[in-house]
Amino acid sequence: MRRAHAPAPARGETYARHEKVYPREVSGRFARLRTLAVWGLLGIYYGLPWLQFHGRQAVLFDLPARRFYVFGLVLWPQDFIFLTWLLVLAGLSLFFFTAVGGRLWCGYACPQTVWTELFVRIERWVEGDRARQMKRDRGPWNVDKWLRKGTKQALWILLALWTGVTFVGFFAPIGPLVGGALNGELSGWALFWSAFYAFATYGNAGFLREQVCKYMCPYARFQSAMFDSGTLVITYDRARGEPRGPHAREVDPRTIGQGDCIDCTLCVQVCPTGIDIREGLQYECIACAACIDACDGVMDRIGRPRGLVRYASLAALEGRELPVLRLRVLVYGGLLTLIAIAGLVALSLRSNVGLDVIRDRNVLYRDTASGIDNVYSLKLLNKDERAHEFRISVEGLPGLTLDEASRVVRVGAGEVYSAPVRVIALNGAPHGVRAIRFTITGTDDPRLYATSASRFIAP
Amino acid sequence: MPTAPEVSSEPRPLGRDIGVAVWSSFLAAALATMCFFATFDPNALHDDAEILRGAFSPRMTGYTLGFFFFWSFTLLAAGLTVYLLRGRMPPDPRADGA
Repeated sequence: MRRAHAPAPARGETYARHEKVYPREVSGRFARLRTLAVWGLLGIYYGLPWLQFHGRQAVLFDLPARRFYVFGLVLWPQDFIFLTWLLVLAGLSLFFFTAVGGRLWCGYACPQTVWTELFVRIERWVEGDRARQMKRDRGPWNVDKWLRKGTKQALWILLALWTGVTFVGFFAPIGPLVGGALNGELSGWALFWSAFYAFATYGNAGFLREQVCKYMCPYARFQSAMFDSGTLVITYDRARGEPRGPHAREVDPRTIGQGDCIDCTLCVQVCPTGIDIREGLQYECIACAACIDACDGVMDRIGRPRGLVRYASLAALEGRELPVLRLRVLVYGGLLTLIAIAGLVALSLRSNVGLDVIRDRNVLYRDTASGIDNVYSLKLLNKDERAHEFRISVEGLPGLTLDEASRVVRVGAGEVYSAPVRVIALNGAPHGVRAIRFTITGTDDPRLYATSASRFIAP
Repeated sequence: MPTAPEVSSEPRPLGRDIGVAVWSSFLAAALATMCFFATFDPNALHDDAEILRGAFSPRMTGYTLGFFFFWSFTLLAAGLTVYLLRGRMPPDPRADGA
């Protein structure tokens, strides 16, 4: 029971004061893999907007024109379902890869990791390695410190600005954008969003770093829901390592009951989130595998086998073997495959034309000499990148015809044809409300086909 | 050598809570903006809403204003949530007893 007179700090009110983490540089298998991933992803990010395809930007989410270009594919707001599909696919992939390999996303592909890596490299290049950085930060603000800190900040800001302009380059043609930026003529929202994204990049990769993963990232909190004891995580082999301590040169440590861990703390020094992997699986661990590389290097030097810290499932550490294809993995994988196939089929069957028919609400029908006529408002959308001619037809009742003028229409590339059409039912047509159907077909390409249902009203 | 982290019984730093509220509301606002403008063209809203008649490009103005409109409300929700979670509960009068 809570007592008002005995205030004790409630659970969750304690916190560790934030201290700057100085990750030590590391080399090894996983560091090489991460470097590869980082440069590959950065190359895609900075390079993709410059890629041309059929005379236009290959990937352009043209917001001002409300049209998305992805190589040969042109998506309209009407195709929003495909964007949803992509997001669902991305989410399921995250589930799948997390179940199999743990936080692979965090360690190798997350933009937070990728840009932090880039910013840390610049920091190391300008300020030197971990020890130098720590020494300088403790020391007084002399010329050398001002100069190095200033250079680092300048490089960071330039990189952040370039990142911001590139980001906007995914949404508005990048050529004019960069031209404008270089001449100092960026205008309006392009300038605003470039600066906004630059600020976010600088803040996240230069300043916040691992705090984003620890305090702000939702995935870090719910990823454990996708884990099971067969998931690969980065673990310290306690049975092999403990009791830890420095090894004496002349004694074989095993004969005196010592473990393989020499407590060099390199695994802690290289950790970008500043944790000690030897304390077990922690949610702060972004699975970057820097500690594996560091420890493998130490094991090589002291002549012990690698893998004191390694990728292993919790089951494997307990000596059990779980198959990679477990129920969880099969379910995530199955769903992923199914949704991917369904989306691809839908994408390939997707029509490049759209048809919208609305009956004129003001007049039910008109009685003319030749028969009864109804008026509809027709909207024909040509999503293709070429102009096309379309034949409009209507069916559902005997003796139904369109007025001459609107049987064949020409619609420009990416344009909407909008016009009223008159449908005439020749004398002798059935009475009452009847279902009819409008159809459009490209005269040069029968695959350009769309249909829309409506009603015909006669007395 | 790793040292034990300094632990304090003060409430969590305000900056951290603000960060969480800003970030989560930003994500929600981005999602809302995407869904909203996939359905509604700012140019179509433009005729009805005097405020969207911007200086540079009506559509970009529309998107941007829309985003900040959504963000202001998601930030309000997230900020209030964080604020309410931070505050100490008033003492329970029944516990005073006797």
